[in-house]
Amino acid sequence: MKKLITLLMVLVLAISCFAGCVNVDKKPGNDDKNSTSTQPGGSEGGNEEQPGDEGYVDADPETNEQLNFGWKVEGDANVTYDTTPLNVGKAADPNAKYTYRTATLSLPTNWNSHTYQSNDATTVTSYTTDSLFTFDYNQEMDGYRIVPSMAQSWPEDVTSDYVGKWNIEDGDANRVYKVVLRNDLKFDNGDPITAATFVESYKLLLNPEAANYRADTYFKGNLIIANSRKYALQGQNVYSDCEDTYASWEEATADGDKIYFDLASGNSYFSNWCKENYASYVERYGYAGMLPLFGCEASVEQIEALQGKSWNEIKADEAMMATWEAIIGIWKTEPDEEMNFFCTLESFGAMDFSEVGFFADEEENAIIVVNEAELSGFYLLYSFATDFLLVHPETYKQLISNDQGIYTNSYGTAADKYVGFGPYKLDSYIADNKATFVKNPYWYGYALEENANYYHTTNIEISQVTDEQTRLNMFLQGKLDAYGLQAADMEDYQGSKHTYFTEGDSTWFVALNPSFAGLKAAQEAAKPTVEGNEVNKTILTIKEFRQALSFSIDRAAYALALDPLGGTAKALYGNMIISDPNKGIAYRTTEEAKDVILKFWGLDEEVGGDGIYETKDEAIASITGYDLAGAKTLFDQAYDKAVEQGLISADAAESGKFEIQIVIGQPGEGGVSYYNNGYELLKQVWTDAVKGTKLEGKLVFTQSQPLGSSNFATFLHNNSVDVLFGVGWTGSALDPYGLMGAYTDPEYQYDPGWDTKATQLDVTLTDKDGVTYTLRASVYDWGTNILGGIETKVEVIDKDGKATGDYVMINGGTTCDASIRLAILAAVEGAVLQQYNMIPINLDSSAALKGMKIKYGTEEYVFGVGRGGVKYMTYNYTDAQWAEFVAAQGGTLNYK
Amino acid sequence: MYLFKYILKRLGLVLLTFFVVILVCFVLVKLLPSKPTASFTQSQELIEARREKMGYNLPIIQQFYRFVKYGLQGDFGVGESIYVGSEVWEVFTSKLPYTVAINIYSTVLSVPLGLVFGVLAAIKKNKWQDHVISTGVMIFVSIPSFIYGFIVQYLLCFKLGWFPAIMDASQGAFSWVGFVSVIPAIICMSLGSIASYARSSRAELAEVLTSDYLLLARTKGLSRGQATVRHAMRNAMVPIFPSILGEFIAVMSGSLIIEQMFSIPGVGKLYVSAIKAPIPDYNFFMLLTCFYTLIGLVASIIIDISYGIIDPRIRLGAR
Repeated sequence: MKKLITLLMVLVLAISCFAGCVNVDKKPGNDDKNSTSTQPGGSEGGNEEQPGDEGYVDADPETNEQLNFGWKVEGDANVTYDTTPLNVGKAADPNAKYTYRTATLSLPTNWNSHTYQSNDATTVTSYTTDSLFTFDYNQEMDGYRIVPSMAQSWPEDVTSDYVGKWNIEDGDANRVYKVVLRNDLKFDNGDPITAATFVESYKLLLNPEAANYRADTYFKGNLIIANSRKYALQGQNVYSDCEDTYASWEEATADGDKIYFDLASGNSYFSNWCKENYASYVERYGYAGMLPLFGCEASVEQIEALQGKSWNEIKADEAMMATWEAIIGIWKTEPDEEMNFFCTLESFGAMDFSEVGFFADEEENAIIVVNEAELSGFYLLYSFATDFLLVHPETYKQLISNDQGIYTNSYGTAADKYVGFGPYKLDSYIADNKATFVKNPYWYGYALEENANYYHTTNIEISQVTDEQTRLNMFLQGKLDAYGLQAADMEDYQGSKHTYFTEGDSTWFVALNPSFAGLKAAQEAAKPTVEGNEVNKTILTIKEFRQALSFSIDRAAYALALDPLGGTAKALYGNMIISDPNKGIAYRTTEEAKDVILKFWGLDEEVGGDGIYETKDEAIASITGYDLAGAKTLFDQAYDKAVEQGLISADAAESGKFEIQIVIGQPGEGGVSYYNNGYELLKQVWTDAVKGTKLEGKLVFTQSQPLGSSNFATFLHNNSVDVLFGVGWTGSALDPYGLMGAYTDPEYQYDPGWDTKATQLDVTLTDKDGVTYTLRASVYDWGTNILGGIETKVEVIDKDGKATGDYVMINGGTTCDASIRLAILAAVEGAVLQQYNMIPINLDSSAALKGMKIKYGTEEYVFGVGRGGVKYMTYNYTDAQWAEFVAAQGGTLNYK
Repeated sequence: MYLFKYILKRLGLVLLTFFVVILVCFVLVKLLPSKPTASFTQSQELIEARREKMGYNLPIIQQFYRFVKYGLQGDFGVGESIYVGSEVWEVFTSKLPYTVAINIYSTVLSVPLGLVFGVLAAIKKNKWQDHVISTGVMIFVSIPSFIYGFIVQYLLCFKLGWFPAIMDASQGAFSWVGFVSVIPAIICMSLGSIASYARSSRAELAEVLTSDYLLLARTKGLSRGQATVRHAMRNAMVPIFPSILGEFIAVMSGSLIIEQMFSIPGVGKLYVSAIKAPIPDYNFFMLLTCFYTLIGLVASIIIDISYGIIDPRIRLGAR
């Protein structure tokens, strides 16, 4: 009997497992893409009124006058080419051994430049690779410049040689570049590196069979090498949101065979919108079933019949057309919203590598790079400050296998499975323990006279030490030459002469996603903590409420409690963001950027004249971000608005029986003190801030379960959590323009509830003749398309703020004049800040102790070069002398 | 014959349990949200293309079939998020010796010491030796090993400077250099085990020493030592020996915290890394699940069988 019961239970368990099996959507691209919160025919309760909503005119750009902005930079006139070697320091003793020893939290498990997924890979590649051009100190060693490294000379524009190919027309320039390589390049095993090696390596990168994780490196950025995407995606069918491909419904319908009605996949705007806002209803009724709920008179069967049909097929069928009209009739409130129901399909056919714009001129040992757009000036050199992900082709090919019929490659996973070409060679590697490097005897740089005084380091040892206290103890024992200070160490080492502070390029935010529909659904699902209370979340859609949350936070106290190294953040971008990389101008030092801060914090009227402050800098320095009295007033205003708009019912307002539930997200795996302490701090700060206001005692905070380390923003997108803190975007210090897309593109926004496509923004620009124009486009167009280098149609506005009916095409990409780009960037930054969805809190910063054994190239941190890195590092002691010195100190060094 | 039938039955159950555990784990891990969200600088198209090639878009039952089919051939696939491109089996077996080494060293140290302390405490029951040992046992059983880790590392590695703070794995897992560098880790791992063995051997032996048959043995003329070694020890070992055996088998399971603390490149971290990776590494997860499930099941069956060998009365109990 027992056996029978056991077997029965096993059978039930097995069956239940299979019942749980789901068929994953086969269509590529069904990611958790976020959508905006426009409701079909519904109200936008609590959402802010956006400027210019009524001013949109959809005109044909071809019939409109092209205004003479003429802001395109001619050639690379702004670039300063300086290759004069620096002459500082002295040569190292050739017989001495200098070992640089450091520790990392995690050694890489893969550093194949084609497939690595974690930045840990740079632990190896930063020493073992080189690039065509590289960042170096300028002559004064107080700034950076780009100099040739593996390249023999500067890139030469050879566009005119390729007219007729890759859509290059007569007169085009800055599209095709030739870079002549040095003739003495070698891998660390002695094999020569030629232009053909680069090409072969690039072909391996794009190998469609491999679908390498990094294959998009040269088709998703400023440098878009011609046909790379098509080659890499051969044999694939790629579905994407119709709006990603077409600017308007009119344009989309012109390609009626290529757009498909799509309610079900992750590419469909409609399905994403439903999933985010009405997930429980979708589960019950399905996507097609949602439309009748919204009032569509077509039946579910009729709607489902449209699925997968092209626009031309729908148009040709009377019944399907009638269904379509019923759908769009209840949905469309804005222009082009037909596209919400369609996706596009791109099919990539076979292609020969010779069609890719990356090939060799073997006679000259040069590589030719064809870019799909014009590229010049600083960004040309910056884009070429790369090795084009060079690998050693023979070794790489030997490590290709077809495990389980799937292409795999183990290049870059062990010392004997990797061949470098940088100043150092990977000598040994033990995962989770240690990697060691020695000088690469085949590196051309050691033979150059200009490097005679540099690269003193003979050996490098990088240990994996996960525990902070162990790292500090090893450092104090002289076993490590640098130690990254933690918050707990600051009391002891903040004032040490060995401590070096470095400001990072990231800003950390309190992020909110005030999607009315999402918050309403979450509110309806929430249970009150006190019986009889009405639960409210939609008050977050009121700007005054979010503004009050911002003003309640004392940034200095926040930093002291959670991140003692971090500074106060006053805008989207911090002080390390460079807006004019050619001149090294930091964005925050520009007048435009200062005006954004002053306006955002309400000090724009307080500078000069009758103002409180004499200068903008003085006014900005005074900003703490903390205004408790102002916050209390705003909380009261928010309450009044919430009652007025019916977000808080009249009954609840009268009886006081309501509570505002705010779930604060906890990114990471849990147990992280920053998020736990931060939760307690914010809870206390906001609870105290509403004291004495109409919301006193009404805020109820809870901390979410750990949200994981990678997809935590998804929980804000679907309003499972209401607030995230200590989040933001990192990197892109030299390209704040491209990064603006992270704040304005719903695919990346933390707050996709803010419909940037529906929010109009006026930007005032001055053309090269000195004439000033005010131009209008959506925030999405300005922030994502125009700054992202996509030529976009914008409307000209007259001095009264009315549309003139004139349009102009604008491209704010890298070829655009720096002043125009800057003006657009500042305008978009202001628009994003004014939403109070991304509330800047603190700036990323770090501090480290430098060992007494070593000396940096410069005391000050220089963007792009740091403090000189291993190239400029020199030593006060040889290894032997250092051991004696440490022993003489009793085995423990004093760095306080 | 009874034993043979018993073993066959247990093996059958082991296989069934193994299959169910693997099936459940496979299905559950595949149901986890695992797709990377659109990254600002990453082409989703390529990720999707790769997923398609990896077979992630197939129905889960089909994926399970593939897993079983290749798994039976010893092919567990390659790393997808960690150790990308490397054979997961190869990575696992390259790290296993480090884990096995520290666990063997630890077991070799803790078994004799634990038994000696336990026997001593039992023989000297209620005397000061017993009190000292029992107090030590209480302390070391209660405190988790990573707490010793901090103390041992601080005292032996930093204050006294006798050992390196992290493992020197440059010459392999079983080298002399490697051994010396992991002594602090071995001590940390052993303290709890020593206490545990001491506690159980003391309890068993103390009970046996007061039993009637031991009194009989003494009255028949055996000395206290002879009676203890020949009769008491053997009987006391019946419940202790299988646990020692279990520990030997479990040496491959690793210790995440101790391995991390002393930078021992063992398998302890693999499981966590496989799950914590931005995209869970299914292949590593499943290999490790298979391995540890099998270890657990085999250990339990060996322990059960060992009871029968150590104590024939247990074997005869089978029908």
